[in-house]
Amino acid sequence: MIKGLYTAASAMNVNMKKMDVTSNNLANVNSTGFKRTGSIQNSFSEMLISRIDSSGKQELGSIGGGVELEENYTDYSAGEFKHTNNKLDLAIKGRGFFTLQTPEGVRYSRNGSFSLNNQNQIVNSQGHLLLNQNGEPIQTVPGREITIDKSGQINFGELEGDRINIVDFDDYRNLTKQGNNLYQTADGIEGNQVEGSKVLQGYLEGSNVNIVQEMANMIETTRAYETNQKVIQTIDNSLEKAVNSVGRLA
Amino acid sequence: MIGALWTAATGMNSQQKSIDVTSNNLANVNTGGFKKSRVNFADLMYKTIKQPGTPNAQGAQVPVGIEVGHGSKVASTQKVFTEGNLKNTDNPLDLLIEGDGFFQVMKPDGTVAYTKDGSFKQDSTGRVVTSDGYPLQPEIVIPEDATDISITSDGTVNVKTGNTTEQIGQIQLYRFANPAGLNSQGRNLFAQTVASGDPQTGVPGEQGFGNISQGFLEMSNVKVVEEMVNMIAAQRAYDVNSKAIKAADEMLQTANQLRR
Repeated sequence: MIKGLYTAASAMNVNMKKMDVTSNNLANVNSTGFKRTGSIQNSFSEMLISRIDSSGKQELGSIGGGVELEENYTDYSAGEFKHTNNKLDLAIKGRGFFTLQTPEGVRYSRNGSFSLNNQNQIVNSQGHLLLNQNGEPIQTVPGREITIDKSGQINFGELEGDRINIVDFDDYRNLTKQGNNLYQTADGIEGNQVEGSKVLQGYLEGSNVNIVQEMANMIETTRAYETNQKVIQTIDNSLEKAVNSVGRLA
Repeated sequence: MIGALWTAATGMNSQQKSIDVTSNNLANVNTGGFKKSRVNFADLMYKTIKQPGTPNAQGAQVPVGIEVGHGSKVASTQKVFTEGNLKNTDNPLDLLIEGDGFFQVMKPDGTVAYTKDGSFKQDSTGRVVTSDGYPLQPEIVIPEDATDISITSDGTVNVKTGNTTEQIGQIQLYRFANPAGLNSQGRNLFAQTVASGDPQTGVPGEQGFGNISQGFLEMSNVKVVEEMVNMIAAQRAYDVNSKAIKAADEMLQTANQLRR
């Protein structure tokens, strides 16, 4: 009886966390290069219950103990591409990440909204330096038209410049979100040069959050939350009967 | 639970900023030399509930952890220095920079500012000034008896007095490594900042500077359709975040009703 109370409570807790995830997705519905997070829930391991009486031990079957949040995964599907006409707005069509030098080390991002800093280097909106294939900041030539071809090769007019370092990972599960559209890898894991992806100049990749899907998730979550509340109330009613009515004399 | 409330609130705040910027762009749709701004959003930091790689109850390592984000924020508002449309005015002191570069003007407090707005006038002493009366730098004074002002594409200013034509000045252009880092001061003026870098000066048409076109004005680079689409996107995103707050509120209410 009391077990059911905790089972329902575990479900309410999980639905709370799912709601947190959904609202983060919705808050980032317009963040450039944002990748939505999804949740996977998992039942607690089932327990075998038995009855022990004078005839010995008899197995009755198994019983579940509730639910927990197993993992939050990131959905790396592409967002829609938005044409901006800005020379330093880049989008990656296909797999891959831009590499950025931050004060905490190298970070990865799908957000290609770049500009120049006061030393003519290409930086993102936080001022982190975009890196070339040698892992160095990319120096531009003042007064020359910047063109970037599909392979990420930068040209300044007829002058050939650096190539943007775009890397990919065999296993995206090694990446963790850091905020500011940045991803961090687990220690010692480095990306490989990407093949088959294209750099689009003058485009930005939007968020891959699908509002309809998130709204449906939100409805599902709130309703599941309510249902579990009803379960707790029902158990509470039964307990109330057991405590107050069963033992009452006359 | 309360987390979802605040997360959705950051989403609403970001979208509100986006509407602020869009409405300023739309308000300046006919402002000469105006450069539109754009809001860039980024996600906030993540709270890690379970680190990836920690062993689970069965002893196997979990491949993916649990991290929950805290919403979104405005990462930057970026000036977009694409070129605006041209307007033919036939006014000899309407100047257009065809490409890279800013005019430098002197403000009354003695500091300089930079502008793309080339609708210059003459003041009482014949100086070439902006609509606000700020003189172009280096100063160009047009003699009283000048009948014809011609400005060539490389920025040399020639006037005709009687039957003689003489050169009275040279327009200089300025540019910055990072024009998006300039500080917008209103009145179509920009000021230098640490982020923009120091101005480099040059003659129009050389070293990548744009040519000067006399009798043309650069209009605003705001595109109405684009702004309207941004506005719709921002408003709908605002909407959907308010729904998330409502859902979070309803869940809190449900929790409240657990104990009657």
